[in-house]
Amino acid sequence: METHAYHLSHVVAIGARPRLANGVRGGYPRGVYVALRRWAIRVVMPVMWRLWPRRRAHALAEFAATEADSGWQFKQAIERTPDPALKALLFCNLLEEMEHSERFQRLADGMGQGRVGVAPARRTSLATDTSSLRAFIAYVHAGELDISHEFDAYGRAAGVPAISGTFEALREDEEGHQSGLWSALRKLTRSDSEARSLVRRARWRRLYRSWLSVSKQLGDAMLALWLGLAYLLMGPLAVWSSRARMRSGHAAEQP
Amino acid sequence: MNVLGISAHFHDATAALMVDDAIVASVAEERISRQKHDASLPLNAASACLAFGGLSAQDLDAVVFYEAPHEKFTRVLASTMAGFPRTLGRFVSGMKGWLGEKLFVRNALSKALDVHPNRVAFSSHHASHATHAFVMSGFDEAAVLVVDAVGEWTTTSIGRARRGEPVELLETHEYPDSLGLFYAAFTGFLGFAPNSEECSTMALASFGQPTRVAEVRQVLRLAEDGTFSLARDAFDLLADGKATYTPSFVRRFGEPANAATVERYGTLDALAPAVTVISPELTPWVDLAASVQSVLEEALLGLCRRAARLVPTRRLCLAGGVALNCVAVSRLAREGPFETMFVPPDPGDGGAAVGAALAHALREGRTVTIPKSPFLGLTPRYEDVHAMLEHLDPAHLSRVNNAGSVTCHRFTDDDRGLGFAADRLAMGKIVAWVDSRAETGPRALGHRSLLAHPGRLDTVRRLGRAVKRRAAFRPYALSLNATRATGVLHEGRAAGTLPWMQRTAPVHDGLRPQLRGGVHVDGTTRPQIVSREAQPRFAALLDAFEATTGVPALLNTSLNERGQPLVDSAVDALTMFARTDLDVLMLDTLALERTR
Ligand SMILES: [Fe+2]
Ligand SMILES: [Fe+2]
Ligand SMILES: [Fe+2]
Repeated sequence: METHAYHLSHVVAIGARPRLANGVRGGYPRGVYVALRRWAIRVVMPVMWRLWPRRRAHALAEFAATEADSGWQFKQAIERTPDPALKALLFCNLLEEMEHSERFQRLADGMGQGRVGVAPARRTSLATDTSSLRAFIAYVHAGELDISHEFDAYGRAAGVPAISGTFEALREDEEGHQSGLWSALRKLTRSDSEARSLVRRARWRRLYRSWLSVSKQLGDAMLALWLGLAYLLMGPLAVWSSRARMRSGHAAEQP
Repeated sequence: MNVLGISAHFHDATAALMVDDAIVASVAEERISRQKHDASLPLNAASACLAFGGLSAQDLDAVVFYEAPHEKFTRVLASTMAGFPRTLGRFVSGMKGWLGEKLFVRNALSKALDVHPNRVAFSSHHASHATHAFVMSGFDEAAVLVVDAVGEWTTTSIGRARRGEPVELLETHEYPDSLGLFYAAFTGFLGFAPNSEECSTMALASFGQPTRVAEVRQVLRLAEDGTFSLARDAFDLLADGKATYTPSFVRRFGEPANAATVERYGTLDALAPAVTVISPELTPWVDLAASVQSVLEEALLGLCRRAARLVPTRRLCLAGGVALNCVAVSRLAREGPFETMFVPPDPGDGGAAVGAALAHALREGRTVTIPKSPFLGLTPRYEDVHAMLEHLDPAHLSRVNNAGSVTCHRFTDDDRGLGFAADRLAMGKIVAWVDSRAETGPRALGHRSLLAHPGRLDTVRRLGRAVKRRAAFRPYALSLNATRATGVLHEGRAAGTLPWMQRTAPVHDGLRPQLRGGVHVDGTTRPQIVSREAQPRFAALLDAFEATTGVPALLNTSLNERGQPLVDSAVDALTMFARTDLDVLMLDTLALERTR
């Protein structure tokens, strides 16, 4: 039997590199988008949260779900990288994202009446194979940067010390993630310029995905309008037969 | 014939793979997505199954969905429209989901898996359940009883099954008359999550007396002939099939349990002495749980008798989510009209994915088979953990209390590993045991298990507090070798026919003190009776533990954190080790041990 204790190795060293070290600039449309989002968070959100406290709880539960998804993405990446040190780095990030998720969920549960949950969304791995691992790391690195900015905005706007404090504490972790991932990306590409170009591409991908999600929300709103209309038109015709069907239901012989 | 069976869109979405007419894998999406009861189309699970079978989607003869979505849609539509005009919000939010992939399952599956739409087939929900149970039973012929919340319209069905033929459903109960919805509504009323925490209702029932049966039977009416009906005014039949109660229900039973009541349940203790005085505030709640449980059992007994009249045979297969109620199952085994009963280890919608594949192949005239044991899940990739350990610090692996150090033991000889685990268990340590392919269904059966010495109540309490974080009124289960079944359990021989925790059995009085941690307040346990053929390594661990301590069983509970699905991969296991107060993680040739 072989027995040994662990030693701190370069996982910690990777995590300790300086922050925001990638030097990639955002570009014009992205800059506008980020500014708009920050404005919405700072100005619109506090009003919404005050008017509808239930929404605040729900938003926190959504943060919990997003953090859990980040953790899951790291787990997928662990299985796709052959590099043990990178596996270990991703594992530490996974643990932190799970803790973030738990903290947001606790806050959400504390705000609402009992447990507030969001329905599980389908998980789709961002890293589909080993060759896309670098693209994945670049994508998550870009995401971590956005998240740390967003957490900053939320922290300032939340107006409740427990919530602001959580955002502030987690923002530091996210900054650690983004610098750790940047170092990992440089190690994987062995060239700063390639790493930067991967991050640039990742940012465009993120912008495109944001656009997709905004247009989906618009589409959903339109669909909801149509469905409401259909309900009001169809309802009077369907209500009696539906009620009759709900009243029956006894043991029936199969044909 | 290669078939992929799929269940989704209610809870516990699952993919199951049949290769050359034999079921080889069954994986719940939640195990991969890490979202408990994940209902989304199980595409991650499907690719894992295909990878396991060494197949690509092009090799599949069919992809079979476990129910008929269009029929289910008519039910959802009717139940929503019946509430016109109060159901506008429900209609809009419900239909948004339906107009996506829920209604157009053929399209969604064909696109996601890249198979021709003609190769996507459907099996009815209850036929899927019934076929799974019957084929797995190995019986030549049997009556089949399926009881769940709801499939398309059917909530309960009685059928006749013969080897090599599609199961024939003889009669059904239709929505909204549903025993699953009945139990779920009371589960919600008692303060638990409906369609998820029914086991809490069952556990609570053991503390009460069925003094409120007459009240409960007013909302679930049982006829002499074994049929039943729900009081229409008492249950709020939501469009998505999750029944809750109505104001009329509240007029009958009073206000639902609030946060204070749920907190008070925390004073109930499964490890308390058998005669426990229940506080007056809690008495009506535990008595209600006991009454609901008792009425459910009566309803099931009525259905069994009805099935026995319809299908003259000595054997019964029971499936559907309600078959997870192990207390009811043991009452049926004891008092029901059938000589032998089979309940699959995964009788819920996960098993229905397996059943859908089987039913399709039977319709095509194939001779199908399924392994007798429930270990159809994925094998952990131990190498992921082996690789990263060198680069992790004890601080990363002790996040709860930030204390102590972690020692890594590697065993070249498996017997020494088993001896090490048995030794640590004897010392009162909590051991996470991860071994080969994961079990299907909600119960840990010695491949993804948390183990402890059942006689060390200090350990058992720490397990509940610091690892599982679960209410003390919920009992733990025992695992024991088949050779010990009659020595430990009353009805040990009968329990041996349902060896995967499908039922409960009383523990012999003399053994209760040394097994107390795995015995409920009513003196019963939910035993796993381990066969040496199916699980040689786990059986050897039980031997080693008995040799060290003289105790013939281990406390066995599912390896998961609160609110999380069962651990699946090696990384999941390491994650749980880092996040909880686990003492030992046994993983392949590796043991991680935390010392404080
Ligand atoms: Fe995070
Ligand atoms: Fe992060
Ligand atoms: Fe079902």
